[in-house]
Amino acid sequence: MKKKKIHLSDLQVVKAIQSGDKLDESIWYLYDRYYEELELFLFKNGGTKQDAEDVFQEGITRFIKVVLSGKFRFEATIKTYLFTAWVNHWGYLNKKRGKDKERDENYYYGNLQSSKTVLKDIEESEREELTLKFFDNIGDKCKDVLYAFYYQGLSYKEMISRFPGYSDEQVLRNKKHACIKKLKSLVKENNKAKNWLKKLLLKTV
Amino acid sequence: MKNINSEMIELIDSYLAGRMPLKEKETFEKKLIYDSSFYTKVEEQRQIQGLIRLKARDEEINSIVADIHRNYFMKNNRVVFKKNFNKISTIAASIAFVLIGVGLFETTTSDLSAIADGLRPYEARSLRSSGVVSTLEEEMNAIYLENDFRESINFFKENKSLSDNPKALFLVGNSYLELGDNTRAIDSFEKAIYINKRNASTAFLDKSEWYLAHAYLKENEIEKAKKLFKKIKSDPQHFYYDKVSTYMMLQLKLLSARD
Repeated sequence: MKKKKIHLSDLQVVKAIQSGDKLDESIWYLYDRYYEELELFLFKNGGTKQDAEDVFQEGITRFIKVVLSGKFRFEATIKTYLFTAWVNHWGYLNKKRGKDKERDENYYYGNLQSSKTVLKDIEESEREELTLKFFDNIGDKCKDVLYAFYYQGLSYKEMISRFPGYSDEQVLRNKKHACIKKLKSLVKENNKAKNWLKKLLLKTV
Repeated sequence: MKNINSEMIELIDSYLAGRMPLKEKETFEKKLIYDSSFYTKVEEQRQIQGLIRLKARDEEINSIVADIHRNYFMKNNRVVFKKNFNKISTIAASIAFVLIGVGLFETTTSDLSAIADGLRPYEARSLRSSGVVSTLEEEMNAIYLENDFRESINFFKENKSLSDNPKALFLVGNSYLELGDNTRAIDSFEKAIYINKRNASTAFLDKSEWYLAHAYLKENEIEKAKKLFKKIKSDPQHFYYDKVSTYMMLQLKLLSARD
């Protein structure tokens, strides 16, 4: 089904992301509005179509995370945020590939050099995500249970119907506690995560 | 972090979720004030909950964006960009407007025709005499031949594989130009040129440069237009070499100086 064209201001996009209302439409809008520009930018900088798609997805994801963490304060436009995230990620990919291609200074990059705050927000968000990687060691089953209880706010009863593998509430409760214990031990093993957690949670939770 | 037993976790969860009955809550909060080790346990559990929510949110965002990304790039499922197209006008008329309207200098009809001559819409040729089209590029060419510029743009956007095809980019650039969307026309021609540069190829390169130069003029980007016309003029092998007159360069120079 083709989506209908919409026009959204920066404020509308940010509000939609923050409230979760019309989030999909906002993301579609960002794709419509900026994908072609980014593709051209990457073509000019030696990238492929696949690079453009990957870099675009990463930038959009990063931007949404920055907005949800409350760091987007309209000090720069969405376009600046997105291009900063893209240029940053493109630089990272090139570095990873052992390339250090020259950027097209006449394009967006020159304009982005003044956006140090934006770059800082984006890098911080990237660091946070990287730090959170340790969480993956908890396993998918634990993730399912913990997300259902703490993120989706489901009751044990609701969880039983979602996870038929658990015979009763007590079994599920035990599983939840075992997962919490495992998570705490992972945090304990990971100093970086421990320090970051304290710092981050003071700000965002 | 210190281990706490299951009952304690349940109790703290209940408190942090605001589900604790009032009486229990009062007792709980008194303990929080007077028992520092209890306070630490509650704080640890609060942090763990925060961590879980943060990770869950991150994964949810990744998943939402990935779904939209997949759909967006799925063939025939891309959003069709429909711009509020400006009134169609010929490029020649626009250039005449730029040159005459700004009153930079006196220009005769024949002087202007030197520029206008090259500004006619691109006329695509039928690739197959049988009229049977077999590739996306040919299909797009056929649509363009019908002068159905909007459909040509839609077709281009709906067929992802055309997006790095220099001919398709050239045709879509001309479609945009015909519909007065000069910005997107410029993007398309620039992309066609860069792809050629990247692939060390020359597919529709001269044509893209020629039409890009005019698109720049339409957007009043005189410097860029001048640079490109100069490039064409300096290359006798260029397909449009003969089209760039010395007088045209002079006009651009004057425009540029005035700008």
